[in-house]
Amino acid sequence: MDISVNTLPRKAEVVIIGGGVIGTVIAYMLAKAGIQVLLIDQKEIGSGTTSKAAAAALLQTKTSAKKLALANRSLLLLDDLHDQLGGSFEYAHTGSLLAATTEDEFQLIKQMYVTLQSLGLTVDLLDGQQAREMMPVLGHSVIGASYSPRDAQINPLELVVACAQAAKRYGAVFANYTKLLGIEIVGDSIVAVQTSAGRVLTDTVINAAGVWASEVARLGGVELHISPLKGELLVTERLPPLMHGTLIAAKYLLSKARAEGEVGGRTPKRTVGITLVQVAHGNLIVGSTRELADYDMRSTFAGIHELVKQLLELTPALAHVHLLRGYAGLRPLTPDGSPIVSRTPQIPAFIQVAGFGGDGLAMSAITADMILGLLTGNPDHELLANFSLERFSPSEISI
Amino acid sequence: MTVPGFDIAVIGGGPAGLAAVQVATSAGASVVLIDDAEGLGGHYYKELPPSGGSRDPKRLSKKEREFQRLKQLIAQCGATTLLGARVWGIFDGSGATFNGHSANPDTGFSLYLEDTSGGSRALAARSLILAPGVYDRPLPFPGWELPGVLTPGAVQNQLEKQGLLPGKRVLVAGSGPLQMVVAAALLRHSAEVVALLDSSGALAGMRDIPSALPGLMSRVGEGADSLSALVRHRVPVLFRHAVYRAIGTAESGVQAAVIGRVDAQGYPIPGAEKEFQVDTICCAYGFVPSIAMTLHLGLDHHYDENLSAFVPGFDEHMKTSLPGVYVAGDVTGVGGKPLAELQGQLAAYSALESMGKLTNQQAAHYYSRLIPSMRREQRFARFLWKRYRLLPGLLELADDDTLFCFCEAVPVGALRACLKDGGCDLFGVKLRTRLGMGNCQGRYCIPNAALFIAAHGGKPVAELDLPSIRPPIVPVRMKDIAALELLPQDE
Amino acid sequence: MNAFRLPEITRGAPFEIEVDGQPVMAYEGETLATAMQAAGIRAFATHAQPHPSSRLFCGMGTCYQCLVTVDGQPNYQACRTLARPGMKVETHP
Repeated sequence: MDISVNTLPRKAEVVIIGGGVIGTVIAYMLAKAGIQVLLIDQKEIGSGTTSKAAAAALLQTKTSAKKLALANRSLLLLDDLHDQLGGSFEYAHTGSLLAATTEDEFQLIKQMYVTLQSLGLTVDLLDGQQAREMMPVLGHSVIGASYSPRDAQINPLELVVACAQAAKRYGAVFANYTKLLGIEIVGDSIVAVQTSAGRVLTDTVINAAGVWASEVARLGGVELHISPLKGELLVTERLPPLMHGTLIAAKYLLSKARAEGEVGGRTPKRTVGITLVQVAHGNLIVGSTRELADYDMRSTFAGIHELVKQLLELTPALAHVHLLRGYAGLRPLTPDGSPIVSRTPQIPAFIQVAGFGGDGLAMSAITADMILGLLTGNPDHELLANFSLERFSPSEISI
Repeated sequence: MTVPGFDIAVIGGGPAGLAAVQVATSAGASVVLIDDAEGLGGHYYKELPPSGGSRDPKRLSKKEREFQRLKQLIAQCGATTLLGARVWGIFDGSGATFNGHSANPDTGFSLYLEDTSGGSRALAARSLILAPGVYDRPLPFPGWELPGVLTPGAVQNQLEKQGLLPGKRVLVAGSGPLQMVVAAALLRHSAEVVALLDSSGALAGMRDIPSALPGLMSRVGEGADSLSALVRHRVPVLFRHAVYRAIGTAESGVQAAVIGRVDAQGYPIPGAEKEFQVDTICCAYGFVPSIAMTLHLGLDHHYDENLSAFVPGFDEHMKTSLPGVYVAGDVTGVGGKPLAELQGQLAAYSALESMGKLTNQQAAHYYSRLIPSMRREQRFARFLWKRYRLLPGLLELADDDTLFCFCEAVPVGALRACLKDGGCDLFGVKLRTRLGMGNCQGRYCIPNAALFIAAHGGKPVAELDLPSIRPPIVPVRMKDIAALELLPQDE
Repeated sequence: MNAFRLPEITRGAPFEIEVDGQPVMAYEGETLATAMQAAGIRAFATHAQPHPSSRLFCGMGTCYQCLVTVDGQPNYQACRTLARPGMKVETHP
């Protein structure tokens, strides 16, 4: 039987570099709008950071009004996507429970609760007993929690596959194991791309290459400072349904804030923030560590050990559960911790969609919506202003 | 915390590991021998557990007596023996997995183990001799998920380690040097063997006999015994035949087997099926080297066309691509006990030389004796696997509904669909179908998937990258990981 | 009943374990798989396995197809778990 190697088209209206969740959701929305799309991935679509994602799209952990509004809009769009695509990608608003084990943590949760309520997000404050009633795997170390019912969980790989299949039905072409070798630029316009499978005429290139976005940007003479933030995660054996929704340790928020603030080149430290979610197949996914370790994705004993220890402090009932494997992924971070969704000033048709950190999954739909607006003459200027490359000094993005 | 440290950790207590331990301890190295079974011997020497009853000591076979002597030697040689212990992770001095990075000779290897009885331990070693052996290679066929479908290894373990006859009416099938031995053992214990099938032809591989003669002669006795048992009991031996499907129910298991002819490439030739009433089907096609640990360490591997399996790379001194790590035994090429013993000794001399416990001259003396013998045994092994070569057509015995990966319930149809959708390698197949992501970590389905991909227009097997094996390389209860403390250098 | 204990082996005194609420005889040194097979139980079903039945397959602890629940804890390999007096095994939890 012949395996069809995707033969590249001679030309495409838009070439997307990178088939992770960002690239494929963009491909779907553009293709649906009648734009002729080619997406290339250096390996298999979904095989990068997306395949390592902790499967949750959270609302109550957003630390600013803007971030919350964005996440909310994105989830609404994901709801639409869910309806349109017909496949489930295991998407459900199973909620999230942010749990505190110390008074300081509970204070933080209470403060956040006030803020989130004022921003219109429905969150319930629970004491330890109520938390355990909601999530019986929790142990007695939990003294309080906040519950956000709208938070969602997703199967990131299934989302990618569903979008790719739908995009193909609208005429998009996907090419795996195809690497971008160069971008042909004349003046401030793009003429074509050179790939490992041949040359394709195009006038628009979208860089959605995740942790490799810097490499791709450089091919167009643009310097993007994307640093990889390593995260180790764990997968357990399949279990009968024993929890609903995502558990987050309040320590997580401290971990996230600290790690993102440290991207300015300080001493790499490993921080741990526990998240726990049970996926449709029954396995538990336990996240995650955060450390700057360049592109090193090796598992470490300390990472595995620390995740297990901290998890069992929260959920001692899971002590007998078998760990199947530890794995690691790289979150692409920008210098200020906020994503880039922007035309490149010098070459407007070279669009950077990069640096989503650990929020790529949640941000995928809203990002694709922004790109759709941008390319169909209907840009959401206000929203895009938050993610523009122009917020960095010229020296940071110099050619 | 103080952690026991050893010069050499030998992982695997079969003939290769046992030989390595004897050599290493005789030169004064501190050695720990680790095996995940309850007793030593690997898959060559099998006996009832110490508490599990006994056979009449006067009726021990030559092999059983040999094993008793060997166990005594090991008990007296000064090695620390850890049984029922599974190594779930090996980390370097910085606490990270190896993945192709070279080991620092000063920091060596940190091993983390789980005991069968629960509980865990850590230990450190300067060198590793890996002798993890092989396991049976079952191929999917309709009904293979029914209770009563077993591998030859399972039948042997039940008979020899547990004193249990697993079935009364048995079909023995597949291919390999063990099928005959297993059939004879079943007959000896009063089971009925309705037939012995061999997917190979009667004369397959015979052209290579001359080069294999020396090795063959040493095994003639064993083979002759088994053959005469089959003849005595008038067991039909059907070459170029395979099990087409197992019939039965999930509750009661196998009730019948349908067999049929296969051609020289293993493809089914329908039209002459026969059905046997059986309660047990014992079937596997050769062996798969147990490479989870060698992959976990990031060693170079290559595809052995003869074995139709991936093996770790090694040189004549049993060194692998990672300094300080040696391999020995069936994992290198399924060559049987004589080769395993030679390699075990070689690996130990090699490790001793590297750590300065033997001079180059002393080591050279041993190499000059062992290496020619090893080569002779390897020639025999090559003949053996030409005879029992895995035929590509055998993969076609399965239909689209047949499960390919048990742990994740992935049917053959899903694999086909993935390949049709442009997937062409193990990575893509694993990502899309979840094949290999279950409890057995792909030990049974990944090797078969590699063959399937190649046979269906994907990359040739030799070009496939094996998926990475991430720790823990066996499922470990979280409490057993939490209970461990970090080794000082792992912080 | 297809599986039988070999008569030529001298065994110690038997004890009882419980499988799905029913008493099953076992001898010291026997695995759960052995005791269950000898009692005619060769199909185990577990909740967490996606396919219908669990059973002895490789007999050496590598295939994870023989999982049972022991004393309330799931996913013990029957072929590697030694039977002990009073053990409660469930195959259909």
